[in-house]
Amino acid sequence: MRWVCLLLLIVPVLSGCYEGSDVTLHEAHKYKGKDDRHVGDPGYRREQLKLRFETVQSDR
Amino acid sequence: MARMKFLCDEERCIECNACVTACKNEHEVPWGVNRRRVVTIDDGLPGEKTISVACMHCSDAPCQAVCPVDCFYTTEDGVVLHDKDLCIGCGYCFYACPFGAPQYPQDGAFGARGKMDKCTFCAGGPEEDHSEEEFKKYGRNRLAEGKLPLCAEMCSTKALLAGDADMVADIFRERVVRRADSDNPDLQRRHQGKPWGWDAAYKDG
Repeated sequence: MRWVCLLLLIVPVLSGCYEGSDVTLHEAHKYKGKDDRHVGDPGYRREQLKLRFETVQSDR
Repeated sequence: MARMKFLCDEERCIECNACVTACKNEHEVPWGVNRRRVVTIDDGLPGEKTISVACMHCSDAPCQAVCPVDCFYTTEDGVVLHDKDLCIGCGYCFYACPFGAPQYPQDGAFGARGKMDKCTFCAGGPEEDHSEEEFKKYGRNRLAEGKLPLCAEMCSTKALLAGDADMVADIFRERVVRRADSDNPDLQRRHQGKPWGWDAAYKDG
């Protein structure tokens, strides 16, 4: 009985000292946020922007 | 891959601040934050220059290099953006940026520094395009609508150009050639260099 009591005392005390050994490693200079996905086809958008540039940014 | 760039022609800028107003209005930028500013160099002296400055969306961005939480990314259009959910408002990017682009809103009674805010080239952020969340955090996403940044689109003298770097460079090159042909020696002397602020911020050439 005495050993059981001792065990019941030691186990919670030791479990409180436990520290997980798993480490999360992040690769430096690598974006970790959400993906930025554009609606629509990128090629089409590029053409639209080109057209827009010629319309509104042309030199005077 | 397209490479979106701004270019401000100091010979054309008339310091009207319309670009600043347009940006604040379009994105409903909070009080105290200026994504774009008009800066005058040698104010009041002969030969003073005025330029409109915002994030230059560097090809090799120093803000991206120093960010401890890596919240910056470059889109396929070459626009440097960041994720405000990751930003911790540490201010490293502010010190790294030679253009003073990163801005910090002050929150609460003690003026605690909030998440970094900067010019997005009117390309929104990583949230879903045209969503309310995207507008609230980053402003309007004009690029997804096939439009260019409003500051440049509404520049009355076309001093501020925004678009694909090749197309912008073509226009500027034509202007420089025109000026070099002029009889004004001062204009000729000033236009021997490359477009301002296009290369890596701390490298030569």
